[in-house]
Amino acid sequence: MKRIGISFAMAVGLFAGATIVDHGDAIAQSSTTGSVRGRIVDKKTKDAVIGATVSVSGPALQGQQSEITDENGAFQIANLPPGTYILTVFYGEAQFNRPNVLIEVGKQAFVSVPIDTEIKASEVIELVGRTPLVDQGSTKIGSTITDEYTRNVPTGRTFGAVLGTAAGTQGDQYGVSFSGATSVESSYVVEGINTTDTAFGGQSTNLPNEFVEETEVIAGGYSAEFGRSTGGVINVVTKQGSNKFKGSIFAYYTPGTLISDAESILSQASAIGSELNVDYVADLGFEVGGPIIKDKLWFHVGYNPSFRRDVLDRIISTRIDREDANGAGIGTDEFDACEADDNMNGVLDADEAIAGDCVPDRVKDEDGNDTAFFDQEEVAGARVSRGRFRQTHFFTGKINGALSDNHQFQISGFGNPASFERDFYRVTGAPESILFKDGDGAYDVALKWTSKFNNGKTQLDLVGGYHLGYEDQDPLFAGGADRASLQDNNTRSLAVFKNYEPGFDNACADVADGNAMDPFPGIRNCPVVNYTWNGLGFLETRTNARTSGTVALTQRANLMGQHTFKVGGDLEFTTYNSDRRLTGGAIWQLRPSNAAGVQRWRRRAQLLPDPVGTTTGDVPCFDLDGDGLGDKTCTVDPAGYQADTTNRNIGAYLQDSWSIRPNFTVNAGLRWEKQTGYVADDIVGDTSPEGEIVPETAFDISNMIAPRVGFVWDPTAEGRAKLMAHWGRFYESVPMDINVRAFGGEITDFSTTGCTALNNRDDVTQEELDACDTYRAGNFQLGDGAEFVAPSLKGQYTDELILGGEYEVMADFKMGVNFVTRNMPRVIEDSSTDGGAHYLIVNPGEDFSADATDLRTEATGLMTSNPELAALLNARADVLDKISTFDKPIRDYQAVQITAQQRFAKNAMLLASYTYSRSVGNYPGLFSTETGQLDPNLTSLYDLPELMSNRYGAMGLDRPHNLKVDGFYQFDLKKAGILTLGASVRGISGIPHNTLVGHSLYGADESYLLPRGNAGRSPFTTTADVKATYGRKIGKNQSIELFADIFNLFNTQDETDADERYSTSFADPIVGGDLSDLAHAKQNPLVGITGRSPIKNTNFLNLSARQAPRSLRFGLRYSF
Amino acid sequence: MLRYRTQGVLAAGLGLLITGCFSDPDLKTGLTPEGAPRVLAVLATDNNTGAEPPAFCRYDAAGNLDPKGPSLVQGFIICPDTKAEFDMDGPAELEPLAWNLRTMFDELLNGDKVERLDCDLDADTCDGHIDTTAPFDVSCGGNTIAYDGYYYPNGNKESNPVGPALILAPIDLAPTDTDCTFTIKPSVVVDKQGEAVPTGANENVFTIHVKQLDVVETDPVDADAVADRTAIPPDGAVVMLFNSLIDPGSIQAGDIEIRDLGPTGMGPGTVVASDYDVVDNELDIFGAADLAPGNYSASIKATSVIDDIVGGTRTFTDGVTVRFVVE
Repeated sequence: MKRIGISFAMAVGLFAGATIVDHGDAIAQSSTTGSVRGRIVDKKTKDAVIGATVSVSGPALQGQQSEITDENGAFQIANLPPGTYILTVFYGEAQFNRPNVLIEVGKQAFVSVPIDTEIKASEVIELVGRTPLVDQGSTKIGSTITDEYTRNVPTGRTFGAVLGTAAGTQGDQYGVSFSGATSVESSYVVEGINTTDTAFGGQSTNLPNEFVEETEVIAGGYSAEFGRSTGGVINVVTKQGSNKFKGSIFAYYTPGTLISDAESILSQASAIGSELNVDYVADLGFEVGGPIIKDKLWFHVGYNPSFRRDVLDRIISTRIDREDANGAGIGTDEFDACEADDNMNGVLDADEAIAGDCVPDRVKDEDGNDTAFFDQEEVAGARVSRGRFRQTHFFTGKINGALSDNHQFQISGFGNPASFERDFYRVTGAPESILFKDGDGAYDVALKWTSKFNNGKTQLDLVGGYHLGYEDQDPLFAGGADRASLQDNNTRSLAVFKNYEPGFDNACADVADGNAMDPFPGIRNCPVVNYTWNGLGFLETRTNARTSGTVALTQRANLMGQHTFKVGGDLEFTTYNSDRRLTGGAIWQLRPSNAAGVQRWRRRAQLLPDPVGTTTGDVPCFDLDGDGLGDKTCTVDPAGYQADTTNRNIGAYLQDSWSIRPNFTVNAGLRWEKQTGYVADDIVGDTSPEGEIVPETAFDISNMIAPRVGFVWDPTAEGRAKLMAHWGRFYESVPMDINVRAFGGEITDFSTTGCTALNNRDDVTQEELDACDTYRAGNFQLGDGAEFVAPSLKGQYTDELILGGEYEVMADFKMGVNFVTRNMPRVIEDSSTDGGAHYLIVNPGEDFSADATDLRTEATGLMTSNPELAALLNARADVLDKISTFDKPIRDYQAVQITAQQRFAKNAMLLASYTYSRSVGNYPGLFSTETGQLDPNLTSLYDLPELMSNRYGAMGLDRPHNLKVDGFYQFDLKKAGILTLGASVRGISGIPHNTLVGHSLYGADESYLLPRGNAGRSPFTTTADVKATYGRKIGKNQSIELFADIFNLFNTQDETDADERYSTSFADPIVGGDLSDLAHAKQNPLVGITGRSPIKNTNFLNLSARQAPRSLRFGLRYSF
Repeated sequence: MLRYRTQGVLAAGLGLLITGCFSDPDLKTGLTPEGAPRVLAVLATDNNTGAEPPAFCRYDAAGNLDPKGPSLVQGFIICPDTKAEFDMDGPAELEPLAWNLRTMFDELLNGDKVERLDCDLDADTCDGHIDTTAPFDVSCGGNTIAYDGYYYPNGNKESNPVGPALILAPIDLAPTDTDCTFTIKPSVVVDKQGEAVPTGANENVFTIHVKQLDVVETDPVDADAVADRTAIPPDGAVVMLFNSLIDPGSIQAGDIEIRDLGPTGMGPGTVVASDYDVVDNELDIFGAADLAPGNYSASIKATSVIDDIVGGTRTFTDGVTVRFVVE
């Protein structure tokens, strides 16, 4: 540590002086380029060749970059766009050309060039060699996806679809997860600017592979210049022009007729199922680049509209009985007597329903024995097919300019605006009332300037950018925006909702429960749970922008070895403007009946506080005296609320790459970040009911110090191997969802009706619910417009340790082993320890007693002048005092990765990895992997102490075995062209399952009846994709390729997820329990029936998602 | 040699990393499955209000609440943090006519041994009972008390209600103002590893006092100021509700009276009636004939002795008086 400290001090001194003229040899690469370093040695003596001029040139570089070798014969040239280069050594009067130097984004190639120093004549010597495959410059782990990969390996159409190639990555609900982190913890950098969604942290910008030069997927081990990520970093560089006009026209088509039928996903708990089938997927585009002024100004543009139409079939199934009382009819389609239309009148008459005989068939197991599950059959004529159409218009444009070899700039713009019309907003609901449309996408502009000074030893990089993401949700059906969503959380017969079901007479009418013709008395024939009708519910229109700028100064120096110092900073202004509403102003939920059989409707609505000093509202709110009753009044606001919020993020770093020896480099860095979040414009300065002025600043997290340290040692000293270690701390950049939801004016009112007139009614209308005003006696609120943030709040972070090594076992083929461990010792969440009366933004499990003391002191001073505010401060202090009683956050990820890579050589390419990992803990990350709740730092986790019970266990992303093999081989058919066969194979463990029940306050699936991950896991799944490409030159610089991809070659449609809902009843966790305890589980007696078990979901742990069916995609590409 | 030593250190470090990171942490929300099941708290549920004050909380030798014991639950303190605070409040008593007992354990029990399930397969639900498994012996004032209840494996010190627990719901009435002894049977109450609850006072034996017989509600309510007194009809009655079922035979002639307090309403006045009726826990006091308009009081006289139906008794030293108006 002392040595590192010295190097930092030296670095600071060097930059302060800015006059270092040294024989340095290294410049770190910027995020959109790579670099090359190496040694020039005498071919015979192996002595260093001092003073040789080394130049690199290539089609991706405007002009050339040069360097003079130092006393060790070493050189390093940075800021090279990805591509293949010629490295030229000038020594004496001789010139040595070394072609095929491959530069990749974010990587450092090592090239050692032996030359014959005795040649005196003006000769040009052509050398043969290759660039070692091992990145010697950093401790990063991950993979680089090149154009060769995306052209020849069966994969998705965009860079977002190829992120899962890196070892240790896996898909989750919102993207690709890195090293146990949720996908929304990653950072998405395109053309050097941060394009991560400011609202939720996910991917916002996406581009087709044809527009992308390289995608660097950094899974870990990155240096201090990278920040604001506790997951991975995705670093994308788009294509650029060159001195030649080059480009391509391409088209892809996936016909629905060649896609295998998706197997139905039926539920024992619901008669409504679905099948999603692709109708077609097609896209057509071009990209072209070339010179505007040769060697000075290049351009590249591209446009690629993409269209996709899916058909979602909504299916109604009913339980069936094909066997009679004697067992006859098994295996046939014959129905037994109880269902026979004996009277031949076309309907099932009452006297034709023979209860005794009518027992639904059971699903048979592999041995032909009955299982516990009822057999179901689709009801003929009840299937409803609806289309879903999505179109995306990808575009890119880029200008590269060079004022000189040392001063270059770049301007680029790109985007992916899309619109999406869905005839089904949800499946389990009235089909006519759920038409829906939304638009989403992003637009980006990036500017970059690079200058080199001091013979290339000093480099200045400036990057500026603007990112605009958006989403617009818009109901299409008449009244969709004006009607409240009504939801029935009970298990019902679909017959209850027959008024909302077109063609219902064909479905379950004749088997309605309790009906005289009910063939299966005692069971629900067409069960349905969580049925929704009337309105859409929550809708949002949002824009998310980021204006960013970065500056980096790199300096090389020789001080007890060779240093590359880099100091830089970045600044981001981000916005999240949200217009959010509940259609019709409310969501009504029919909750489980109480012991007396009384139905309870719970209304969720947005409240608008009355102006201070007035009581004009009709809903009690703000319990100021802690008696459980509102002391002020509010008004239900059907228009929802508008929250315009901003954040300011600042980061700075200092790092040094110190090559103590040519084959041993220590990387050390220190990053500092500060994030300031602001309250929504509309409520800043408002006075709360307690007399508190809403501040402008919501939170200010300073002093996020993130050290990074590592080393790289090449035992071969030839660039063919490395052993490395890296330890680093990584801070989260808090997505702005928290600004809108916690500091945007959201006050959600929950109230439960007691209107006896609505008891035992299945056809309640919104008007009747609106007219029922007895809810006023029992309402409560979540949120108070602007939540309180603990003054000593600290940033959320992960720590990471990587130990690993790589070895190039043969030319162009390397293998590696990495051990990766990550944990998450601190998180930010909203928490309450007083039963939800006061929620505070804190670091759960940490000590906030000092903050509590300060609040009490402040309260004492207000006791006389403002007793209500004093009481509020004391209540907050009470909560802060107890924050340490929460379980500390745990998310431990450990992995061993074995990787193999052959870069494209000898007609073949391979990218393979096997990862064994475990991920355990109680905190999944920025979304709940179980409920899917995406509210970063504001999830229901840690909201109440009891919500953390049973949360520890195998995480939702715990998938121990993860195998990936991608590759292709080219067959040279000589004059007939080239045939390329590619394949992609995946094998991964299934996800662990949970036993979820309802929580009395938080609703469905928020209580873990058994410890996390204790309900088994889905099976190991495999999938194989193949691709065949036939290419042929049709001119000097023109070629055409025809290709076909088959995804999921073997059409495996195995389970990928299961229904984890044990019950919709409210129950507390059986802490530390196992399956043997389930029989004795009880409903929470305060909101359920005393001494009674939760009502078990008959579909518990049944398949709820499966692999996509086999599909075939055709395409062609004309390149010039 | 150095190389091998280095490799050994690396291997050991790696092993420590793997085992260290995956060892189960000590969670504050967790239970204590190690060792015998111990009672953390015994809560006397008041079925009228739902309140569950503690009759027993487990404290360590220094007087600090067991770390797994119920302290702050949804904003309410169940067991105070120190024994001194608990002693200051005193242990909760049983509400004679409306009590349950929640006995909270520090780990899960063998549910099959302690609870009988009565299941409705059509509804996919089961109701729990402990009437036949009989995990307790309950004796109050020398009377054996029959009971039912259920096993509540859910919950911990954070949940509302707390758990895991055995819920005891009495079937028989307990005599007022007596001690009830609850003895947990080690043969029935065992954890999932088969270890039995330890024996001894405050381990498997708990003594809780039943509240004395008392009038808990009157209709109308009493008031000092004449202007605040409630009017009843001339043929109306003053109702006194007791917290247990009272024995009508224990009420002696002259124990109950209605007095005319005169125009000032301040009494002492004269006795105008002594009629009453007893139904369960309700004592109705009325006049044989309609009362004339005026100021009155209805009383259980001082030093009256009233019994409950199972042997509990109470001397109302100061009597009980309700003042009212007839208009």
